[in-house]
Amino acid sequence: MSGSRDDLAAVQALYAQYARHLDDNALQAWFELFADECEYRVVPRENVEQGLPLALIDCTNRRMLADRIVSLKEANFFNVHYSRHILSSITLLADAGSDIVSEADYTAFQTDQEGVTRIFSVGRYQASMRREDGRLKLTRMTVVADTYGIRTLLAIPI
Amino acid sequence: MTDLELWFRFQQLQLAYTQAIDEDRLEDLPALFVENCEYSIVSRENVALGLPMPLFRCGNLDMLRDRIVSLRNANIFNPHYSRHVLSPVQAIDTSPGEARAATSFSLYQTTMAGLSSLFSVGCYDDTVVVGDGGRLRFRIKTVRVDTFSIPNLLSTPI
Amino acid sequence: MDTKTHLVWPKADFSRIPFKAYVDPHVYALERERIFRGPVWSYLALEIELPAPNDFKVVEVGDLPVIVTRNAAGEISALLNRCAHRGTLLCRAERGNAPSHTCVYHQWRYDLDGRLLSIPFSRGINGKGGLPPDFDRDAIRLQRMRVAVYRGVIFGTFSDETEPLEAFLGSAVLGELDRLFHKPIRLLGYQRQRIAGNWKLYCDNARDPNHGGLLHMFHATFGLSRNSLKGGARLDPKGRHNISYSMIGKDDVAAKESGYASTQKVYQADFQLRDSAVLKYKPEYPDDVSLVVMSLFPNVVFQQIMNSLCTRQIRLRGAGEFELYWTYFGYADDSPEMLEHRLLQGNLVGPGGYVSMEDGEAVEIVHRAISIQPGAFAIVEIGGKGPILDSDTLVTEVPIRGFWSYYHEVMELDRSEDAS
Repeated sequence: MSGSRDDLAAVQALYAQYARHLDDNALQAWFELFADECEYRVVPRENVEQGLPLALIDCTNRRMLADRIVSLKEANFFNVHYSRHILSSITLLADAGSDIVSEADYTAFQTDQEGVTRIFSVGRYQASMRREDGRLKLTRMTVVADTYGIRTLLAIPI
Repeated sequence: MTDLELWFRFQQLQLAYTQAIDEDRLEDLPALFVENCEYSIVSRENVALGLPMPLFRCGNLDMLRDRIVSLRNANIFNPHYSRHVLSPVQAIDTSPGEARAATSFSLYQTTMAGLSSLFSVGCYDDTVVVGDGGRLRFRIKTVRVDTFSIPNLLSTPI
Repeated sequence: MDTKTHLVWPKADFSRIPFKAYVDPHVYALERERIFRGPVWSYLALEIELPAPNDFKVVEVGDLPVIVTRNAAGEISALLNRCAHRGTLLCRAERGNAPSHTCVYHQWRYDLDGRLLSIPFSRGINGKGGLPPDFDRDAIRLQRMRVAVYRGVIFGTFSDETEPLEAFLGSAVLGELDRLFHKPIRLLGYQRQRIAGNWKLYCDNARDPNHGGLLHMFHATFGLSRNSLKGGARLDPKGRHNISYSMIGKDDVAAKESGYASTQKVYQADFQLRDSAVLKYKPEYPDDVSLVVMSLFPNVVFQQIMNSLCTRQIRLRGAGEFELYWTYFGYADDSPEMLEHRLLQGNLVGPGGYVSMEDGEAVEIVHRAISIQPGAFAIVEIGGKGPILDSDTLVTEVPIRGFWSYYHEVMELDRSEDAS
């Protein structure tokens, strides 16, 4: 495990940007945190525990992720809300090749247009990150959602 | 002061702030601010509409002291415990003698019968002054609440 | 007699209020029909919130969602926010600008007066599907309110039987609206407060000049609304609307000392603020009145608390919850100093207000305790029994009886068991 202070600081900063861009509804900036080769999945915890492969959102490459962003802007309609993510401290795990592997707990809140906030989802982020052009980027983000009884719908990424 | 040290001290100041509220040590709050400080709570709705009306506004430290004394001696409000759960301080921007950062927060209130509920989520937008020995204090603290439909009433600071 | 909504009124002067009226869900359902769809004018919004043609805002009348919109000709209309097809919420944004409204579910499109403009695939495809030949499009129209505007304040009614707005409000209320809106206003912002109690407990609170100097320590200690102040309550002829008012600095000192002698904590002669700018009144009307809380039946309170001005719309969420929607304004010609003063004085009011936060708590602790015994009654005799008249003292709760006497009339409640 590399585990240097610089690595931890960089990993922390990337998680912080990830949450911040979602909370500011800056989806393009969120998308740019992902490396050229990447995966983004949101999986219900019950499927993980039963060894089942089905995800709620399953983007196996960057183009699919780009399509999601575009469709959110242009095509899908969904309940308008603000999001707020609160993350726990980061746990660094053993590296996988040249990728830094880490996890963090998350709580994702949604606030509706009338200013009422509800917990939307809680769970765990499992991320792999790699340096690309001097910047740390996500090669894999798996969101394991404890809250798999999705309230209304899942539109904006978690 | 290195970036990491600044981040660490900012983090400690933020926790000192939230813990003073959570542990009902409101009288410890003024020591975390400079005399000519500003402390406001604003709704995300008004920020989005460009409207100036705050929920709470202290234009100097005396007004914050007045608020605290009032809560102790004057105001009738629902007794509760507060509990903040924060994201790490993020996106630090520095200028000579000062630093500015954002921190996402969630705040729970627990009744005297032991029932907890989510009271507010949002983001702190803080500007601190770097004083002697690297000690940080708040000069501007703006609490932007996503949860702009206030449950019952807003008594203790967020 | 419908036993589910039957309420008992032991006194003809409404000095006994049945707790059941506050907590019963059947009574709540009847209120929706008899009051909010009934022959009253409900507050919708301020014209200044809809400055341009096609601007719209979604508000609530009781719990009925209503799109308030300014059409291309500049007139205000108010439409029930529900598609005539299958009942979908038609407009899903809080505010915006649009020349028509289209339902996302099946794309039915309506103009700003609620007329149906288009239905896609109405003729089907190759003779299959689509609307039946006898489908009468012109009969499809969104439910709408009649709208009337006074001094830039927008009111609406669902009923054809409602008397004209000016008659409904009465001369005292019109005079107060003339005073508050005597020059162009400027919007300062919104606050929302969710309170776990029945909306009528808030109506009682706002019609209760007596509580002002007894619950609110700031009012009593700093003389903003001490019970010994010069002030009172003016009603309209039916007692349904109330103007509570008081004048800072006009105090009966002997009455103050004796009146507060038996109270606890509320009047604290030694309490001082370090920064008292928030208590300063900068007179801006040709009178000495520094505090006005004007409640209009059914759904709004207008506030002048020194230099903090707002409307509070009461939005219902069932019998046990409501939201106060506060709309703050100043005057268009405010100096930057006056604007800052109004924002600072906001510290007194709203969900975080030194004064107003306590009304939220008062409503909740009443609701909690009356829910357990709907068959009991509140006693409302302070200020006098019998006739419902104006008061020239703050030590009164007569306006509460005024509210309930009109409530009884507009709800068409059975009186067969009432006292004569």
